[in-house]
Amino acid sequence: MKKIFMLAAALLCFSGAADAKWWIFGKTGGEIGLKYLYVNKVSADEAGAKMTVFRETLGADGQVKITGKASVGKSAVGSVRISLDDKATWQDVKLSENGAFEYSFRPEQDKTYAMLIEITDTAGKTNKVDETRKEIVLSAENIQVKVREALDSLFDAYSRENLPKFMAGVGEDFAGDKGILERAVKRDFDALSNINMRYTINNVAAGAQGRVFVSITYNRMVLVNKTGATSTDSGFTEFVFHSAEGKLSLYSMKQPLMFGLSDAENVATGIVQGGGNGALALHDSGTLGLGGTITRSYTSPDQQFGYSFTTGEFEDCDGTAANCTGQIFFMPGAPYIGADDNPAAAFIGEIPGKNISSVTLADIQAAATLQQVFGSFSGKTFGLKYNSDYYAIEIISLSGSGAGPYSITIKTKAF
Amino acid sequence: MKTNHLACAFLLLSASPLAAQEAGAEFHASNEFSFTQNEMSGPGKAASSLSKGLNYLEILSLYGNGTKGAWNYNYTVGAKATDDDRSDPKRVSLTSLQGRATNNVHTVAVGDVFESFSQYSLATSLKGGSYKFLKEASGLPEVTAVFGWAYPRWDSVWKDPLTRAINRQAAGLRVKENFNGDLWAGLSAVSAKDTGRLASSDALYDAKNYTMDFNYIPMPGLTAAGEYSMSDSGLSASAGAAEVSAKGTAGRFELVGDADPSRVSLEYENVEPDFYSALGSATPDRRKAKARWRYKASKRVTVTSGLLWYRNNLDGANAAGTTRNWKPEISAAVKKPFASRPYSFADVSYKFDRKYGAGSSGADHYMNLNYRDRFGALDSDTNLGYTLYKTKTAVRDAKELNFNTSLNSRHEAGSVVLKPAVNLGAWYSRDELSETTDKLYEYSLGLGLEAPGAKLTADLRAGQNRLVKSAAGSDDSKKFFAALGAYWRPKLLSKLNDSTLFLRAGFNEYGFSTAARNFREKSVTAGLNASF
Repeated sequence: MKKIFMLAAALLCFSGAADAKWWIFGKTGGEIGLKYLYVNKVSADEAGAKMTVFRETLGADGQVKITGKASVGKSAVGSVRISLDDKATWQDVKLSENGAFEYSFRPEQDKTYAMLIEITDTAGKTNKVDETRKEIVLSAENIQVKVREALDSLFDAYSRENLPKFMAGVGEDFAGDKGILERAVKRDFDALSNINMRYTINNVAAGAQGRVFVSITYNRMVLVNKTGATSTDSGFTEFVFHSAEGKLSLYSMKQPLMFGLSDAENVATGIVQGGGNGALALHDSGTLGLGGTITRSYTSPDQQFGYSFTTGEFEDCDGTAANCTGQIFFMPGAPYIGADDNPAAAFIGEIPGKNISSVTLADIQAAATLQQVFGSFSGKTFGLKYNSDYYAIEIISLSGSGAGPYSITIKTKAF
Repeated sequence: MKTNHLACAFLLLSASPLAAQEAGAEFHASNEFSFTQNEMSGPGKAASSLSKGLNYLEILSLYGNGTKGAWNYNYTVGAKATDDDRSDPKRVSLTSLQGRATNNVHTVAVGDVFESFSQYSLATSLKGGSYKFLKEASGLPEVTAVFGWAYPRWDSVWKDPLTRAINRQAAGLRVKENFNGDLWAGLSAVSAKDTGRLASSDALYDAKNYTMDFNYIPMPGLTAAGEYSMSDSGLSASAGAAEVSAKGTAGRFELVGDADPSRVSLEYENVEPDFYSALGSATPDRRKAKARWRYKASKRVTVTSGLLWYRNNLDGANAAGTTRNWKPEISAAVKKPFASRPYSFADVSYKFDRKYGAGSSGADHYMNLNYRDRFGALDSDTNLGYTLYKTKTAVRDAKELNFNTSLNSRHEAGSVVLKPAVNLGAWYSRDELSETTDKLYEYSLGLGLEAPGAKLTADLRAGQNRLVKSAAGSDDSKKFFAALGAYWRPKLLSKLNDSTLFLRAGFNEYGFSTAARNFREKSVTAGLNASF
């Protein structure tokens, strides 16, 4: 680590001393211009031609603050002027000896300010003024509207599996790395279809550096292409957005994740406190991993069948298979539902008064104490402990009689 | 019915002269109220994620600012009400609450406080308060102090049983000095302490982070930025897990050169396995290096290339082993690839994804071609992608091909603008491991309508998709959908400033080979959005 920082320091020293900008391939730099320019702490270089600011991101004084630094090569800065009306009028700005300047103004709602900056050196030479042109507008919309716009766009692009449109809403500085997210979302799209997502906003906080914190309640349904199963989940999650180019772009996401489920470990930066009852995740194989509520249906030719939470598959456990390979075993003819204790220690128990949406890990820990639960199990919810893993299963419907066949629909969730 | 009370409250709010205020002060409000009627039917309706029946959603946002003596202040209040458990388990909840005041030297804020110190130290919102000292041109450092609780929502603050979360108390102090305009550096100290376990297995942290970050612009167009953070964290004993304490560091450094014709960025990040950031953003146990170069070769051609490398298991403690990732990519965007076609645009990209170690070995290739053009009155956007998933460990060996094309048009008929659209898509996947093939076909037709005179916009879309699977015993599925969105700003409501009546309706019909899974969803939402 120390070597890296020493290398970085050496690079910085070198770059500071260098006259040529190596990254522009010998094209000239050093003419009169701006070394940097910030509008309300957002870099104008990254912001595009039009900058929209929101009331909530203004300072408490309600002013837009422009800070920058003039660069005049080997000469000295004579003056810096600013126009907010497309060169119709100019005002001198407060200038430091080293060329740094700042200017503040109180914007009017919906008025577009065409800002240009003129830098003059002591020899009377000026910069290319038109290259500094930025339009600044104070949006009439409140930040919640803008947040919903950004979220709607991301949710819509993800639901329609439109990768370019989705990535257009992600910032270059995405904390989990934009390149990792893009590949993860592409894998999501290959693994899922019929994505149906909804959300409502729980909390919005606009803060420093043009960033906006957002907490939402979500619920979604997806169809997993590989297994044909549908899966639903719901919970709370958090985003941080960055304000640039008049819109909000995604800066970070926490688990439970909404996007990039195929590489959750690398995409997410943190976990929401009390966020979800387990969320969707995708295995490298393209199948659904832990978390989420999975709805599956199955018709068994007889009254003995099992289910694997790990693979999401049912299996017919007839006389040729002493044990199912899954974690739960159904005997509707007996009737009983059992924990399949081969090879692991497994326990099951009914959780009265709860369904798959409301069951908690604590419920399962308290209930899962038996090998089997006797009696009809249709319409009931059970908790299962399998080694150190916990699962919940709700029996949505069960039809059939005697030795079978039986049709069953279940909802499951892993914790 | 509670919705009646809400509706009355909303109408009162809409009609009241809220804009009346003291001189120099501003007040703005926006409100959206909607009803949604959902119906699900069919034997598989339990799989739906909609709530059956009639539900409402009310979203209110208030903003104001003004001046009192030498102090400027502003405030924001937001609230939400719904009876749909899937929209929110709480009937009424606060969505924002913030007040700020400043005299241009001292700034205090209470409520939702989002002081973004740095990526590793503090990058989340707190419910609490903050104080900032900043005296411009004085040479004195900027000092910020925060205290509060890192809850995802306000209901958690008063320990509502439905939204209760672990209590994470946070405090932080940041000192930032701007040396000469080219260089600033900041020091941050942040602590987070968890209490109030909800389940016996919940992890409770007691963590401190000490962070230094900087930003330096040595010459126009070149920016260097970095951050180094140390964490000292303790994880209390919980069900089945012993108490753990750990110390770790994280660092990142970025160099960006941005001036035509190039933008080059170099990044390095090292986050130790034991580094923990309770209030910031960090992916632990990751060493990452990244280079990216965007080059405008000409006015028509821009080439972007990049290389991302990262690995985990930095301390060798992960018995399963280390996973390494290489992700190079290159793309070219070409305006007018055919000189005779002024609206043509092509984008071609190739991405490679190599991952190996810890029992895994995969090499995936992603290729994509996008072409946009205008043919007469038709705008077209076509995308063709090919992905090859290849693993040496028999996890995913598959070839996937996807194709999408959309044709859009715009026709003016008197004072009405019509925007018909057609979308066609296909996805083909061949799984070499299971020797199965999945195919998905989809089409949709759309019609947009704009009537500026009547201040009406609408969009209707209907289509179908069909997933056909070759694997024995697996369900084929199909979905028919139709969606309508209509937005109207009638003259009457324009007196209430910017107000919109909206109607959204949707119909989804899901069909599966196993008929017991079939279900239908109908949803209609009507509402009014008003702001002033």
